[in-house]
Amino acid sequence: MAKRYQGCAVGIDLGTTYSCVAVWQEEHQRAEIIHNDQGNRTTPSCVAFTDKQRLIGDAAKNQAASNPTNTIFDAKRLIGRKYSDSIIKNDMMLWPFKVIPGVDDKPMIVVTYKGQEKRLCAEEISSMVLTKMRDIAEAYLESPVNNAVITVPAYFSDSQRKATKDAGAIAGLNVMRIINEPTAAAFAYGLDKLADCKEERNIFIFDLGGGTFDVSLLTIKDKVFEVKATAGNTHLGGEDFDNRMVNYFVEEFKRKNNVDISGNSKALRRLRSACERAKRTLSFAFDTVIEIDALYQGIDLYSSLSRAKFEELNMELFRNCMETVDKCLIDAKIDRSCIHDVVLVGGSSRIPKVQQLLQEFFRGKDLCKSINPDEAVAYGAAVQAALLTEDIKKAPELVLLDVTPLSLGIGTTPGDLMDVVIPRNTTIPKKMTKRYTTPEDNMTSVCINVYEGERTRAKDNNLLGWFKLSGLPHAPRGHPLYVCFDIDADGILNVSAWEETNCCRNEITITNDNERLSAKEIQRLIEEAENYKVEDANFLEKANALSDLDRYVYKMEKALKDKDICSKLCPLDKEKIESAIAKARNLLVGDNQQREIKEFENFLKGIFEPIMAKTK
Amino acid sequence: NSWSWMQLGCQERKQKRLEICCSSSSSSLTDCYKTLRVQPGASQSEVKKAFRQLALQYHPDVCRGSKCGVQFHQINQAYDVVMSNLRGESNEMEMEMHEACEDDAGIDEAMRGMNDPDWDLWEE
Repeated sequence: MAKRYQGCAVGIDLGTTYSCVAVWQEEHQRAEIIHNDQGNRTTPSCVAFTDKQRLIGDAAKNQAASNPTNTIFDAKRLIGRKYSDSIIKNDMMLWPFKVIPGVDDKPMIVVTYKGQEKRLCAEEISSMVLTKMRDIAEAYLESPVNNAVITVPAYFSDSQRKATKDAGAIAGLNVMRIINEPTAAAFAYGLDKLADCKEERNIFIFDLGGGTFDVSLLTIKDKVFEVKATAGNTHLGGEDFDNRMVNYFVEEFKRKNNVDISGNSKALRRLRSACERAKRTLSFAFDTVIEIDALYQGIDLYSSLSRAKFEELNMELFRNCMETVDKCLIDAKIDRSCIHDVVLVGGSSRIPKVQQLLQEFFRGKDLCKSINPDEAVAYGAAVQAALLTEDIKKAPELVLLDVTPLSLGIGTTPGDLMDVVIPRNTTIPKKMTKRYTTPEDNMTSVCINVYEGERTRAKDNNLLGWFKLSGLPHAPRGHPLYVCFDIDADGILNVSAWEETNCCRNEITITNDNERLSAKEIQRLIEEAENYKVEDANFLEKANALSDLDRYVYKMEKALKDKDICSKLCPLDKEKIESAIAKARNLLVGDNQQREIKEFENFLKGIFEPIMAKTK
Repeated sequence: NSWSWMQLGCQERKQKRLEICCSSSSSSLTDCYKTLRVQPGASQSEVKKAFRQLALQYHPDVCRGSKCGVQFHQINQAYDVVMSNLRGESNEMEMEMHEACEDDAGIDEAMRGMNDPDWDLWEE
């Protein structure tokens, strides 16, 4: 039985570039997207560190251009990956912040916070974004939020999913479930469509977001959402389109002005922001201009970009998307003519060329744009959260049957081949047992390596874990062994193996592989997150006190200028006030990190208020 | 067959698995139909419908009994076997599936239910 949760539960779409949070509203029988403190319904997945404070969300993104090396984004592209991963190597060339290898080849982000160098893992950055999303939800709901369903790209690997779960734990959330983004979007879409759904409906979700691309094919009928197949690319999205544009303009700038800006992070950041804006413009306009004053060495960048040129720059990536669409349909064994609805999700699905190619692929079928592509995933996650919450009695009656995105199997001899036990796109929960035989005579132990992936050679896939089955009886080669893969609704895999005459048995739950954070490490990071929270609160308190002081000084200055009040003051008092104001001014402009602002404020009040009382 | 599975102990359990792996595949297909609560010879759409109804009842997300995880495993497995049989997919695949299907049935609770002529009562 799945765990049931009590209390408030939200759905969080933790995106590469933007995140979104939603909650199920029982009285309205629908999910509500929660706006942040700026009034925006999505929040940048961005964290910044300055000399004074830590910023998350809009505040962090807004100051990115002036503080590029300490403004961290794209944590989702790092999470659950190794430093030596070629994808990370390529990304690093484009990131203004520094990434170094840590323990076990784990990528660590280096930032300067309050003048000190800090090393943070991707889970920590993501946990900060999650904390922000929780705060947004708590402010709206006016009650603590402890439970959340978090979404991940359908094509995320096991280690990426688990790292995301860890990020949730560091943020102090009970992660009720990690669900796939396209599936969540299907919930958002299907909830409305269910009413008139008499026949089986095949729904194709095309989810092209900021950093990842996913497609899923679902069948909806009788309140059952059955995922048939899923495919994707965990490193393809709006940011990659931006990168191509940035490279194009860097080259153009080099050609025109003979200067190379590629090493200057501030210039690149400004160029990237301009490119992102231009890309959005090109979704409705056919031409746009890019103007950046004094981009580098006082030289302006003034150029234009047509939609055709944008499409040419990214055509290879668009074609790539269509290949993935094709692969998904083949896996599902469903012909493209049998698809009833093609649903667009993710900000980049607004690109006209993408829509055109997709429409051509489905032979002119109208694309469904009825759901908000930026919010659908969070909406669906909130629905799933409601289904898993005990307190909600009137949750929609739905069942989601999801699949494993990647094949799971073990490495076999000879030749270290991958032998698939649970093929990709298998409905979970699932239990499969397979019979194997020993490759040599008189083997006393065998090593069982559990892999995930589609490659033929086992070691080209992701190693999820391994264990040893020892104490085998002396027997000629070909002695039978059994291996059982058991994957639950949460996607947690349990592998067990035993020998035929049952003299030995061993099993492993794939929960903690070496690149993953240990329970102790998570505890430490939770405490650290608490520290950050306290520091943030202190900073805010200090900033408020400073602003109070400023207001007070202003008030006093105004009083001194007031003839009525001035006439009632004796020269000694006037002098006292003037010196107090001067002291306060010094305090406001100088380094005030170490001082107790409140004390000064009280001191000022102590002088000012008795004098003012005299004048009345 | 009245002892509970837990009392079987590890030793018995493994032997049981072995035994099951040797059982014939025809009986297991019948069992799979039983698990799905459809008659052998039912059409694909009937099987699908039955599966959906069972999913709404027994999926771990909606079912609150301690047995539902186990039951859904069997339902899922049975659905796979029956559907691939209806589609006329390769025999080898079928065998493998059956093996796994039978393995799941090794859990006594379910086994008893499946062999019971009044298997509808097994829900209780």
